[in-house]
Amino acid sequence: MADIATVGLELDVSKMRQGGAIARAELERYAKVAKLTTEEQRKLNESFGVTGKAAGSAAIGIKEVGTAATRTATQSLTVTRAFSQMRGGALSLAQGIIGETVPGVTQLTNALGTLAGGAPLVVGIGVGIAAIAGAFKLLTTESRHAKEALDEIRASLLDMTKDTRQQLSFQLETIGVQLADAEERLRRAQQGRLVSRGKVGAVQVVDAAEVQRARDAVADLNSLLIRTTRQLDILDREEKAKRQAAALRDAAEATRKWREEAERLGREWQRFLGTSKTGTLSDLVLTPSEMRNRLRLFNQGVRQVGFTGREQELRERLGRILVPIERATEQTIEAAQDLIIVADSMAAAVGNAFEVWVTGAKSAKEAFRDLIASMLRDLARLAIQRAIIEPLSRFFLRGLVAGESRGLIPLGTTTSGPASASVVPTGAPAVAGIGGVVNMAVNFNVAALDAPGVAALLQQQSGTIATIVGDAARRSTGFRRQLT
Amino acid sequence: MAMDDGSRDIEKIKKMLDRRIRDFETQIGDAVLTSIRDGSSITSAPGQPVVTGELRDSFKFVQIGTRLRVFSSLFWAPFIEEGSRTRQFRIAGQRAGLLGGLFATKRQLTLRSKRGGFHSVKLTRVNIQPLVDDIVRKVAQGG
Repeated sequence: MADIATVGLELDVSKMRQGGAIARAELERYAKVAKLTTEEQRKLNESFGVTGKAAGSAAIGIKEVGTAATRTATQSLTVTRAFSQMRGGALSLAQGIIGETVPGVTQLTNALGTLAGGAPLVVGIGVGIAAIAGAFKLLTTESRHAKEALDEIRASLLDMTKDTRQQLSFQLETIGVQLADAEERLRRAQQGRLVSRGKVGAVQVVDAAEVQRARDAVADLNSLLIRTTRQLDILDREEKAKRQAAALRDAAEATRKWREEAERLGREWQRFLGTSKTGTLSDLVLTPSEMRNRLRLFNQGVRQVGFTGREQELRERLGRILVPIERATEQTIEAAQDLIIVADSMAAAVGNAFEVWVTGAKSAKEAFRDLIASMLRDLARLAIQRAIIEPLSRFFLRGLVAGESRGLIPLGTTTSGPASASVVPTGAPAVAGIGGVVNMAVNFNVAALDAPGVAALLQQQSGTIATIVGDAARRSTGFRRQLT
Repeated sequence: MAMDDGSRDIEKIKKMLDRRIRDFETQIGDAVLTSIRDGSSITSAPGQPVVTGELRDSFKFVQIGTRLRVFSSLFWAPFIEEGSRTRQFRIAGQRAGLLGGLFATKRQLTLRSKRGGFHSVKLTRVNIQPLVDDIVRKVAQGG
């Protein structure tokens, strides 16, 4: 309803369509015209739901509407909308992860495949870099896991939305002022009945006029009595109190479900945060500022509605429910910021290392040393992102070992491939940061390589690299904790 | 009943039924609105008291699907319906303590209008069934 109803009636006439009096009357008229037998008429009635004692019932659903019910419905709608926004945020997050990571990995893989296939001399480079592609494929797998987790979150939010709509909009609609007023109205009505009886007994009959006045008074009092009796009927005393108590219990049960769902949501978010490794979080659709806005809207959605009396209790319960969700959202924001930092930094380090390596600005040894030192600094700084960093750490360690286990051919100092090669992967123009890894235009100048070959380099320099790793680990207590 | 004509007849019945239901919905909404706003001999609702007509004109009839709602948006409409300011004073009394609660039970409104009275919504609700029966009878005979 567009208006805020303060008093009124709401009628549900859905029963009239199936098995109602109008249907029955219409069917009876048709039966007379068509001269149906009793059996035919019975089947026809059944097809329209007109059966048994309920047939011909003109009953309609009816209930009073008021401020409390409207406020509860508004509150329910606001919470539902807030959850819907959260669901939208989660989906945006998933879409951002999937939409950004997968194309990036594909692009990188294609670029590296072209690199490996088009330059026989740098097969070692290709295979080595292919390991990077493998790592990014790992990110793809993890992003799928994240998507699954977000799907579960989405399902939970849908359940909560449904639960909100059903539990709060309809069950709590009868709670509030009606419950608070029930005893008061009942006491007032009973008091009115007693007063009426007392006045009737106190009338003194003196003469005919007095008798007439007494009769009028009795009539008036009887009218008052009828009204108060009707009020008593409206209240339906104990039975209504029981129903409202049951509704309160249902509300408490719904609140408990909310709390459980919220806690489960928090756990899901934690799991999501612990397993997702995107590598392209700076391009996420949902930025931290947007997430904060959603959190603020979420809070406002609950707080903007005024509460009085017993609804205060409900508000406090809702507030407690929101705590784990807010915490999970804050953690998401922090994790997203950390991920953006580490992803940007690592991508820049990788890009710079390979750039200076292949362009000959630095030797491979220096490039790798700078690269690994940079990586270690990032790893140490972001020790809290254990689940995300460890696979990358393993990759670098594994990548060093992989050069040996895959039996790379030492290429020696003689170059037999093209003197230079230019590989420009398809995609967007070269950009800095993460995009620089994926879309960077790589210019090869094999002659500039001062090492006998990457495979040989890795084999020969593994001790050096291990020393660098060890030194960095010793320098950084944070990274040492990370490794242990 | 000829079965080949049966399905066609059922469709006709359904169409007729839809029309009757729509008529019923419209009429029951109008009847409830009239009962609450102007009073009704069927429901014995007195209707709304009229001084300026603001309260009477504030009641509206809205239909969404199979739900009909007759309501007022005036903030003071509930107090005319209740015939008292008890609720407000009771809430204030509960917050203030026992003395305020006792004070709250004696705030009955005085009906100054010669038309209408209190409890129209409640009386309409209590006596809704005779109202529905009356309209069903009219609608059923209308075809």
